[in-house]
Amino acid sequence: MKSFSGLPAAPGIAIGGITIHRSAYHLPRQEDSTTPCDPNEEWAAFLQAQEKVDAELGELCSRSTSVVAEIFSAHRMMLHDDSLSKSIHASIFENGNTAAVATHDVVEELGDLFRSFDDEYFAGRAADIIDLGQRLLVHLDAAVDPVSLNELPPDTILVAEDLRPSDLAQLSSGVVVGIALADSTPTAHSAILARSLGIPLVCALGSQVLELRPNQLAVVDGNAGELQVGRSDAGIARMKQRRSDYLETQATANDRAQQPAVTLDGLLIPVRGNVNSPQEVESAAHSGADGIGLLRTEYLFRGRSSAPSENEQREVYAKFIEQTHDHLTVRALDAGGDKPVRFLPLRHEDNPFLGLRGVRLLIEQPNLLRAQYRALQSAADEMRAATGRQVEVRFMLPMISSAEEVREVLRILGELPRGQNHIPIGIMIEVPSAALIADNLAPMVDFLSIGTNDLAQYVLATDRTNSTVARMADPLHPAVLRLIKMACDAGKAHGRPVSLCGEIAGDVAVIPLLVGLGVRELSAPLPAVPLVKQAIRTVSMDKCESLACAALACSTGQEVRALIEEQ
Amino acid sequence: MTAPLTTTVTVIHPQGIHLRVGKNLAFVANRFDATTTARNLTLSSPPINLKSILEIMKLQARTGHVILLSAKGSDAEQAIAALRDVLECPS
Repeated sequence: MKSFSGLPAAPGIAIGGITIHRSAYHLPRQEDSTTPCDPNEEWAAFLQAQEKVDAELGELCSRSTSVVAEIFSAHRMMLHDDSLSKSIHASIFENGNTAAVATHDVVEELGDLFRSFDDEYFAGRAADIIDLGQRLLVHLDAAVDPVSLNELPPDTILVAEDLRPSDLAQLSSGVVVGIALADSTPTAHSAILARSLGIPLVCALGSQVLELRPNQLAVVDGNAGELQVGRSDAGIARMKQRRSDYLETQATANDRAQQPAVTLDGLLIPVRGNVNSPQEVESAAHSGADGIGLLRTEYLFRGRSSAPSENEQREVYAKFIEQTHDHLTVRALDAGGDKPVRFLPLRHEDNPFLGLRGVRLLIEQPNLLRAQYRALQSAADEMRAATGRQVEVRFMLPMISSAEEVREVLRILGELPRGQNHIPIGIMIEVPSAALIADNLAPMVDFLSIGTNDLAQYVLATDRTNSTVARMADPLHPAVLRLIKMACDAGKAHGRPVSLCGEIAGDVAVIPLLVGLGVRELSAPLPAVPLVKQAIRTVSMDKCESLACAALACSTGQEVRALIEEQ
Repeated sequence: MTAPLTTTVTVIHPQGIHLRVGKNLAFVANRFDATTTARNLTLSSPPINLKSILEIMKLQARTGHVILLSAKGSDAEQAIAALRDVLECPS
């Protein structure tokens, strides 16, 4: 068996035959004919093609979901872009090119320019431009679609360098069951579309996958981010089993989403939700989340010329407490150079991830910290007086790296008049130093919450949004696991609850390991909550703990994954 | 000849000036007669024409980048105010 590892971009497991799809990256060039052409005729031909493509895109917009329509309406705008038509006009009239050659050259040049951008997102827009160029060329009789995506055999695994949004828009999910891309990122339009179609997709697999033999049987694992070929019959049978288990588990999980998650030996693990907006707070209960384990408050502060007043914040938090099942953890404003807020003029930083952010900024601007804590406290007092409901409300500080910071925050908040109810104050463990001295920090605060996204980035010196190194930011790296263990041990020794939030809390396969390391509360992205709860219901503590011991002895993230796979 | 009106705006959109924001910017810019341009001061990029979505993508503007907007023409003032509104709308 050969396995290629990339990045998971749309969940699910697919098994099917490989079709290699080429064309997304470059357009075919029609050689210049020897007979001179009439520029006026060529220009008229271009205008006619432009009109036809406009009609096509208009049609696609009108029959698509909003996500898809938005992409094609942007394509439509590019189509009518002055700089595009001016360049094509010049190529026809000044260089004597045919409409097809002019369109090809101008679009390819733009595509190359975009691909040369350092910024991954903007480089990715090359696919949108090439997509548009292909549409124009079809109407200039210059492009032949090498594989029509409408005429593929059933159960196709589509392998390509990258896919254009138009390619995906014409797929029907019964035919293409999985997609494997050599390039691209989970934020590309192709990934967004695949998720909306429910087709598993893995990207950033590397160019070797384009050399795979067509029609051979392959497996796309959109949960793990892998493409596998050459599996034995038994292996394929296992993956089929896994796929049907996955679908079945998903159905069971959805049925039981509202029930608590209890291990086989009776330990209750609250599974809460991570939310970023009032809309998500509203949908949290529906997803089955046992309250909100991480309310990111940045949205309240972004795009305004002054900070929200204490009163404004109180009203917002009161509403959230009312909507929440039984628990709400509010994270203090986590802003900084990489997440700016307008009313705080921040100095330029060469390295914002290592700069004035999180709690460092709050200590410099203590009024923000005071207003947020007091707003939460009055909201909790008010709601308790009004409804008598006991909602557990907590306040959490981001980016703690030292005991001095904890002391300083407690001093600032300690000066405030006390509310009727104490709002527990806890810290995020997301800087390696905080994990390493967690036994010193734990007795100072009411709870700990491990943030694995930043923890993995900081301890592995890897930016997970940079596609060339993103794979190295592995939260299952034993170095990360050992830090998680240290934080859990410290919490246990001092009787402080330890929760874990971050993308990894939504990775079902990893849940037993996290529980084994000592995590007793989870906060996951909302869509993952039902499956995470179901995963907890199928394990026992002794099994989790022995898995954790074995994982801590591994020397690579890959070994840890293999270990989990064996369970 | 009057000097162009200018203003600086910090990008607040979580993904920067991505395609959708860019589309809105170009749409708004095209509603005015004024010649409107932008430069990404953080990346020291050359000025681009705000009436073109392709040019706007060339700004490669990410969250936190500082953009210099500039407008020239009879309705320059209204144009710059409208463009600023688009950039400062949080979603």
